[in-house]
Order: sequence, then C-alpha cells, then structure tokens
Amino acid sequence: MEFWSKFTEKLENKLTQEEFNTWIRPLKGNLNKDTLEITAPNDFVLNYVVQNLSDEINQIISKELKKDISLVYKTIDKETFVDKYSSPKTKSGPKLVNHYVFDNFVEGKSNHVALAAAKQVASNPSGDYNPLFIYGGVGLGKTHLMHAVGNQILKESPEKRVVYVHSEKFVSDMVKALQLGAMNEFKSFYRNADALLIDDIQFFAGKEQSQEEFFHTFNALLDQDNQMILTCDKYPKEIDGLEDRLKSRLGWGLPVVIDPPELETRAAVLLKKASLMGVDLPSDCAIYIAQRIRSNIRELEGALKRVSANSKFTNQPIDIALVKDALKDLFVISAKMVSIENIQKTVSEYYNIKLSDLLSKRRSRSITRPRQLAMALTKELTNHSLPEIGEAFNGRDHTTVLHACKKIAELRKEDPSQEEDYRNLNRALTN
Amino acid sequence: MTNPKQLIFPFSIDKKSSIKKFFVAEGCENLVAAIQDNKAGDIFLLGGEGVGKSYLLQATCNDLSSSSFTTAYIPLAEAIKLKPMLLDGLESLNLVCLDDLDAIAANKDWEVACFNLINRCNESGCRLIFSCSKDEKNFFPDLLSRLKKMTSYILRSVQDAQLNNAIKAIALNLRIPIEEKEINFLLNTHTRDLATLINFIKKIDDHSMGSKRKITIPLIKELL
Repeated sequence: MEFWSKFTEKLENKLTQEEFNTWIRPLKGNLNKDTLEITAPNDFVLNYVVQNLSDEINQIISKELKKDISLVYKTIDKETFVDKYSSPKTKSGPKLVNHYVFDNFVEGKSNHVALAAAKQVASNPSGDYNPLFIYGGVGLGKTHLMHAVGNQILKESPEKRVVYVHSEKFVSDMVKALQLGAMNEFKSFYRNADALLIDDIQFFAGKEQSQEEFFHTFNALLDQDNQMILTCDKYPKEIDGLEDRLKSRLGWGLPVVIDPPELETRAAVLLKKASLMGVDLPSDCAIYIAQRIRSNIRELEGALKRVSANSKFTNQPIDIALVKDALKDLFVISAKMVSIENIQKTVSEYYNIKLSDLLSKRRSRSITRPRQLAMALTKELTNHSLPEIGEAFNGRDHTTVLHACKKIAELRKEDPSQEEDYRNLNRALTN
Repeated sequence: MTNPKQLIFPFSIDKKSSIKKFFVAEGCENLVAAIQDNKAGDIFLLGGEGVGKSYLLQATCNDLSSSSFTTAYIPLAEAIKLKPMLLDGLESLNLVCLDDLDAIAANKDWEVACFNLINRCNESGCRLIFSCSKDEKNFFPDLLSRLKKMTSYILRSVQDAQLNNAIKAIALNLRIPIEEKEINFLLNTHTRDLATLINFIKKIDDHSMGSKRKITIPLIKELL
C-alpha cells in the first residue's frame, strides 16, 4: 500500500490533474514480491490505462524499484463472479437495507392498502398474494416496503434465502454471466430463492433476453411456491415493451398501488426520518416543509438532510427561520416545477378539452368539473393565494375557487372515479 | 470504444487543487464544510458556469484520497464521448465525483448508468458528489428522484464586493505576483467574472515571465 501511494504520487506529477483523478485514482495497487497487481474498477478504465498510460507506469516502476517487476492488470474476473453466484455464504445477493422495516414505514391514506398487503405477505409468504406487485410513482416507498417484507421474513425464518435485486442489476449480471459462461450459476442463484424481490421491473422493458430469463425464473419460483415481490412505476398492463405473457403473470397475484402522500403523511414522514437521524425537528417545521415539497419522499429526505446540515454547521437549533434559509433555493425550484399553466394544460389534456374552454365562461358540466378540479389541484400543489388562482382562471372571484375546492373534496369522497382522476392528475403533475 | 485519447484533456490546472485554496463565496460556507465531511452523505451541487464546481470536485478528490480511501473524478462532459460502462464498478471506491451531470441529460444510456451507479453506491456505501450547471428537470424520474434525495447545495459566484479579495487569494495560491493597483485596474477595465479574470491573470503571468517584466498596468494593457 505504501509503495502504491509513493508510486501514484510520482505519476501525479506526470499527468494532468483530470487524467490523474479520472484514470489513476480509482486504481488499487498491490505489490507482492516481484509482481505488482493493479486492479481497475472496470474493463473500460483498465483498457484505457493499459493503452495510454502503461509506458509512464513502467518507467516509474523501473526507477522506483530498480528491479524487474511483472505487472498484472485485472478487474472482476470469472472466478470472482462465479463465486459471488455460487457461494453458499451468499444468501441474499445485494443486501437488504436493514433500516427498511415496517416499524419506520409511515402509514397514510396513500399507502395503507399496500402496507396491509405487504404485512400479510411477510407473515404468510407464498400465500394468496404471490407475486405481490407494488406499483406507484418514484420515491413513494415501494422499495422500503419491499425490503420491509424481506427483513420480516428473515426475522421470522433466518434460514430462508431472501434475494433482493434491482432489475438493472439482474440484466447487467445476466450479460456478464453470458459472457463468462456462468449462466447455470446465475439461474440457480435466483431460481432457488425462498423469496425473490425485484425492484423497478419497468427496466426489463425492451430487453427480450432478460425478460425470457425472468419469465422462467418467475415460473420456477411459482412452481416451488416461493414468494415473489416486485415493484414497478406502473400497473403491469401499462408497461410498454414487456411481453404479454409476462404482463399477464405479473397480474396473477396482488397488484397494490402507492400514491403520493398527502400533507399529514408527508409531515409524519419528516418527523419519523428526523427522529431516526437523531435530528430535533419541531412539528411546525415539518409541516412547513411538507406544505412546500409535495412530490415524493426522497425529495423530503433531501430537504431534511439540508436543514440538518445547516443546523449542524451553524450550530443553531432548527426553527422556521433556519428552515427557510436552508431551503430557500429548493422552494424556488419546487414552486417552478408545478405552475398554474402546467396544471391547466395537464387537466385539459387529461379530459381532452380545449384549454380555451377550460378558461372560458362556459358552464356545461363537461367543462365545469375539469375546471374545478384544476382549481383544486392548483390550491393543493402551488402556493398561490385564492385570488391569484381565480385571476389565473380568467379573472374569477376567489369565492369561486373556494367553492371549487370544497366541491372537489366532496366529490372525491362520494365518487371513486373522481377520486381516481384527482390522484392520476396529482401523480402526473408531481412526478 | 471511441478513441480513448479523447480524455487526455488539452488543458491542465497548473497547480494541484485543494479545498484550502478554494475561495469560498459568501453564503457557500456550509457547502464547503459538507463536502469535506465524509459523514455528510451524498451531495448534489448546483451552480452556473465558472463558479468553481470542477475545481471543488477535483480538490475534494485530491484532499480526501489516501491509500485507504480511493476516489474518482469523472467529468461527464468529456466522458459522454466514451461508453457508460466507464461507471461500472466505481461503487468499490470510497468517493466518486461526477462533474457536469447536465451533459448527459436526454442521453438515456448515460442517465441509466448514473441511476445504476447511485443504486450500487447506496448498497456499497460509496459516497457520491454530483455537480450540475442547471436545475435539470428532464432527467428520467427515477434518476431525478434519487438526485433529490441527496443534500443539495448551490455554489454561487463570488460577488463584486468579494472579487478583489478573491483575486488576491487565488493569485497568491498560484504564486502570481500581482499587486493591488493592478488588480483594481483589471476589475475596472476587464470582465468581473472570476473564472475569466483568473484565466486572464494566468495569461498576464505567462506574458510577464516570457518578457521578463514585472506585472504592471502597461504590461496588462498590452494584452487587453
């Protein structure tokens, strides 16, 4: 290690800073008697170094060691890969995230069905809900719920093999397995899991060979009555580029949706995450942030981290003033993301009506309802005042906006189709 | 693979970057503290052209690297000419700095590669620092939401009131002997953009050394 540090220092003087930081810093060197083993993170870096920098490397080594040294360049090799897929110690592949458990999953209206289903699967894997298919927009907690099921299964039955993999990793490892002739190990690794958890399966779209392998894995696991949990950003039938036979199988079990969280849930999520981070976040600050950041949990987490960092570096307790200062840039960006114009355009496209009609004085039901819904969404998703919203809807009075918001709130409770429209539009606007 | 020589950059920063040498614009003190703090988690750094994002990222790699702490700096504006597999395996390092993220917007393969790198780094514990020149809303949603989870900071440009001090400090670090009078002359006659000013001062320094003359207003005028 000491030799490698000295050696890279010498090399640093010969290269541009960019070259050094891009190609040399990621390398690891290990001098063993007369052999220097240089390990690159991937073939691409390795090839670049061998083709472009090996002369400099050889020169410095000869000068430094004053003896013949054989250089061995390497990256991940077949043995390492096969070992990863066949070692009995490798129970779960990529690790389950320990802190993704049911206890710290915040329940709200937007996710309580998904949570109930996940708990059911965790307590009774391979039961009726197989596969459990969790879908919804990005950053809403699908992965958390999936890991929570895996962690719970392992807690109750530590001997079980719970395998978690992101679909992109499944695809890239399958390509590597094909290149290295290790497909048997690859197949066996996934097909012998007691529970297989695959995240973001929308990434299988358009990848026929991976779909084929996944299809057979799916069948093998169901034949053995082993549990599968899948997440996706869409309902199975809506995934473009996925084979019909696969779409059909994905719907065999229980598809459950997670919707964007409402204000109370967002505030509760912030308080829970703050508590887990050991950060003292007052409730009014949590509500203040939750009112302004609506899109997803990840963005809330980002905001919380920024507030926490500002508090730490300035040595100040968290209060509204600190939150405002820490997040001022974020709030400007967030406000720009959902504009009244965007809401009006999205709603008119959703209902297939002209934007000019949405803003007109026409009072037919087919126009009034989308207009009211657009007003209610503007109230929910922006920080504009009621008079400002009225003004943006062709100079209407603020009482009209207030009436629209109340009407939509009532309709959402009474009419499931109205509720579905509202949620679909909310999701489209905030993702 | 395209010609790998492309990544041998035609320019080089002549002195090794270090965060200690970075002139911190007013309001960016927390950002600089967070970047140096390995426990501060992943960082998303937003800032316009020429505010010093690349310098800061390279300085972070230089300062934090050691035999037991491996780092990589990937300038995406250059790297996009190569293949996304450049990012494979980087999660085995301790810190990866990806510069110019906006350069890969709308390039699906690179966006997915960055998305995968974030996922892998979350598993391996490798810390990530991204920089971006503009607030990119057009990344695909899965990548965007992961970027939003990072602690985000805006790196601001040095304001007029700080320019004089900034130039003095940077010139001192670069060992360029330029005095107050000449700095004031430059600020009154040349651009007030720090990055452009620094490049111009380097040019003045080269000219001064080449002609074996001290940096004076008449010498500066020859280059204006």
